[in-house]
Amino acid sequence: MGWQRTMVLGLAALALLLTACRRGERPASSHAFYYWRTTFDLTTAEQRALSELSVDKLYLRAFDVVLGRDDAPELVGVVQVRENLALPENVEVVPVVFLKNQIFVNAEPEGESALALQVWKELSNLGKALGKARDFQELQLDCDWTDLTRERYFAFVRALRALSPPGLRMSATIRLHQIKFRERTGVPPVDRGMLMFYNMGSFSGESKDRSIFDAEAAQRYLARLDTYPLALDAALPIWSWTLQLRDGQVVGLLQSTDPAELPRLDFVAPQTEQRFEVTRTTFLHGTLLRAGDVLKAETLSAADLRQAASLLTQNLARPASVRRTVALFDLAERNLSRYGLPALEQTFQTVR
Amino acid sequence: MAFLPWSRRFKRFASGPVLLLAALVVGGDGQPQAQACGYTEPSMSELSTFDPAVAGEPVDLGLQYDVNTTGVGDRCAECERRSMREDWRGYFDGLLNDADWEEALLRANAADLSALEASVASGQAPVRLRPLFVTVQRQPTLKLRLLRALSYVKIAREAEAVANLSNATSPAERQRLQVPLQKAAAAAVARRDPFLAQRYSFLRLRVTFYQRRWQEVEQMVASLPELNRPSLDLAWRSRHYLAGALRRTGKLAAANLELARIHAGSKLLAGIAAADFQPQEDADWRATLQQAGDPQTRALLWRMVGLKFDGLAAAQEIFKLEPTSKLLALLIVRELTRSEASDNLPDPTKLDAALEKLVLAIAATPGADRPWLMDLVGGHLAAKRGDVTAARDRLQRALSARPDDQRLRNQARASLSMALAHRGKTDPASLKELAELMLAQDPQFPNLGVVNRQVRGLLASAVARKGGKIDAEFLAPGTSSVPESSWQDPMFLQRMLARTKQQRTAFDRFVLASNHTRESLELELGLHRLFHNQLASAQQQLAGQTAGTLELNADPFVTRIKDCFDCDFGSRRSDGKAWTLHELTVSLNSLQTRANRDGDAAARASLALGTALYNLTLLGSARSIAKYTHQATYDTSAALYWYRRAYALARDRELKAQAAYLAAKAERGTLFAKRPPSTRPNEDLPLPSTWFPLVKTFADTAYHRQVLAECGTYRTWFARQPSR
Repeated sequence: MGWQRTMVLGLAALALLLTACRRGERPASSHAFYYWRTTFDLTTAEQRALSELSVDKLYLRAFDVVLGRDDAPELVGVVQVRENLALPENVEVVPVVFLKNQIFVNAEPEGESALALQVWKELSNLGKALGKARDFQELQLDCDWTDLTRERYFAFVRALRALSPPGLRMSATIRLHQIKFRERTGVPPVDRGMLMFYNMGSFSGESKDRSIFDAEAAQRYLARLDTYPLALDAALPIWSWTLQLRDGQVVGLLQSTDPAELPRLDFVAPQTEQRFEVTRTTFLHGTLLRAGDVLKAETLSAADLRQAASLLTQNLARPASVRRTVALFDLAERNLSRYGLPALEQTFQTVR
Repeated sequence: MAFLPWSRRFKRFASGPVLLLAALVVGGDGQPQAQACGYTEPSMSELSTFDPAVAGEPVDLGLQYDVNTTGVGDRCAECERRSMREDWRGYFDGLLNDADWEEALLRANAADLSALEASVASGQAPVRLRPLFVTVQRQPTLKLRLLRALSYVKIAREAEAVANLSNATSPAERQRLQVPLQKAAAAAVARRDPFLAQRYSFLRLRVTFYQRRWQEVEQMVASLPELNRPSLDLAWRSRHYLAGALRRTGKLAAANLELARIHAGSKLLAGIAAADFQPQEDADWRATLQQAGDPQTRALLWRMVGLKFDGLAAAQEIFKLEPTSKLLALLIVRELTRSEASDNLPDPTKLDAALEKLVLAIAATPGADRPWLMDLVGGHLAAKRGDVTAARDRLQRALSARPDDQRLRNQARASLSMALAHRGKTDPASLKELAELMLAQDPQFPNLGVVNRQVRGLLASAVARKGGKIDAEFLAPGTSSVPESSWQDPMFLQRMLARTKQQRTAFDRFVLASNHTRESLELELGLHRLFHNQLASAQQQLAGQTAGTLELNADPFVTRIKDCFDCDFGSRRSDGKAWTLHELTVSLNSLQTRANRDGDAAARASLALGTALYNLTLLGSARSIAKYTHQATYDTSAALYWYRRAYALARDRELKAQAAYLAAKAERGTLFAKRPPSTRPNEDLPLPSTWFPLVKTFADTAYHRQVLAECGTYRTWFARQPSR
């Protein structure tokens, strides 16, 4: 019986060891994308990406709240859902409401409740428009609030929560400066934060400066990331854009211009791989380009994306068992094709 | 992180015509939009150094406007009503009073209109429309015209109700108007009534547009000549609907071309056309230019680009197309003023350089439009670089071309002044020329304030570099190299005063045309002396001076336990008159004589001195006189000196208690004054640690009881003290 006892003990020890190792690992992340166009309509490539990347969630821009006439908040740009849109069953749709910080600057006292009601009504309409009167599991608020607007914004969040069903999770986007200066800006009263790990660089005409993601600039904000008193998910950038430069300064941002289209234009001449000089005055996606302007394309390479993902993994808090959501901004064919699905999968796997 | 989709720019495309036409037919009270209260946007003359009106362009075309801001896309409701009024006046041959007809056109309800129609036969008109009815009765030739006009108004009201893209209006409601409108238009054409034929056809066009039958709108505009006259306003509005339809069928190039033509042809619609004008891609833009057909129309298109997007680029393109174009002047002048007024241009000097190159090229072109204006602009741009030679040369050419143009002369004078100031020379001849130019400037020159500030500022820097700090301070008060601490130096104040006496040369006079006047400087010196207890000097200095006659806003001898500015505001002497500053110094000197003696009387005199000096500080009730001077202070040291003396002299306990408490207030003021200004919140005054304990020793006095009752700060402190 002696060897059997030894075997049992050995197996038990091994089991313990394995368990101990798994307890130290982070669970695999939940995969997500942001969808940020005004018409919700998935192309075949986008559908495939959702499937092949095992995407659990889609953060859908629902509408914006901006300062309207008479400086009152106004809901604009409500997303239009294409009729008969085939939404994958296993993908949870999380509506995102973007609130311009300005609306809270001079907001009327006690106006937060009225705004919350307005927002809630519109969200209810969106639920119906998604065809199945979906009950959202989560709602996300996107606002770059400041120390001056924190109280009003937080009051709005509380008012919105009071209107929502008890089980509805609320999350809010958190920007790096809000992590770093949390004592000033406060922590919103939500269940989870979505760390926007991008736009920490500077808009500049210099080739070395990068506005979408800059690892060096990011480092300045990472020190306190793991102690932020809110569980954090993470959003990483996969979009690209083009800066319009004039006399060395940034005069415009062509958000809807894919850098990949620049070499094909017959009114620009390449200076480098990323810089193009405008050779005649004309229009591009509604923006007037003056002859002599320089278009500076900014894209994040796959290596940069990996680096961003790694930085996050090294610096985010290690929760015991909560599954972190990693979201890529944003779901669009051109972004998917720029990286390829394997690179994006690797990004998802890197952040835990 | 939301990125606003560019497509949102199109959202208000059709809203403009709706609003405009609502006013035309049934809407609007014609009142201008209410202005937001409390803040007015500065005008261009307050922001730039170039008077755009010198170009002679009609200002309402927008020499100064930005098409994306309020004031351009906005309606001119009165302009629309005037246009409409003129149309109808023509229809009625001036036989109907405008106001009477407008009562029917704009304000009468459906029942009244029907009643008026019936009344023309029956003689029973609704009361509010009676004047109209009476006029028609007197002039039977009007009767038929009025009946036809009333029929039009009734159906126009119905059309207005469906003239929207809202899904709340059913297609059937819109459709049912088509037949009667078509019939009415045809009938008007048949009887050779172009006025109503146009109006009915226009209503049909509108209804068709709001039925989203875009192709039909295009066809109607092409095939219905009655849309084009007699009212030009309606003709252009028809084309605006055409532009909208073209856009909605993807014919962006044609739509933008139409909008450019509308902008050029219709003042009423210029703003909305500019707002709606939006090329998207190189392809549609090139198509628009190609469809334009001729250089003049292409120039119109570029002008739209210039007004809305980029004036310099547009001007450069227009110059290539048509070097003598009349469209260049407005764009150039606008860019010139914009480069100064805008605070978000990447590098205004680069814009100026490009503009300068362009205007020189235009000026050198045979047959150019307003070459004198290009010379003037060129001279102004050279002036901004400090190139006096080039500026002088070009400005002189402009003046020679138009010697009787006063606006031009004023601008040239201003520009040359700027050239000299930018050059920065301080030799006597340069200073003399500059001063003479500025002193000769027409006070009506609209940009005088900005030019003056700029010239004085540049000159201040130049003279300061040569050691002329006093002149620099006169030229640019507060912005020169004189540190704020200089204002506490009586020698500096006396040098400033002495400068005011030197008025011999033009430069002297220009320097002294400053916010620093003899009076203000006398006030500074007088207050300085008072706050430093130099009472005799203050009295002597202010005697016979204007500063001495300035009145205090309150009786400075009123003393309170708890300061109350509002309570004492306007308080006067016992004879009912306000204290003047000189009178105060006389009184203070008299008190000083008594205070320098002994006993309670001296103590009372000391208290009064302390109170007056306390009340002149920013903590006191008579602070208004010093508030806007460099002597304004929280420092109550001068008052504390006298309160201390009062305490030392007083024998009566109540009097001593009062002196102690007032000294405590003054002590607090001195502590507060020592804090940096940025750390001074309103209510948080430090505790007087020396004098509060002394006040406490008078706890047995009635005055102390009063202090406890009125002064919360002391009461709180007192409550925390350990009891014996």
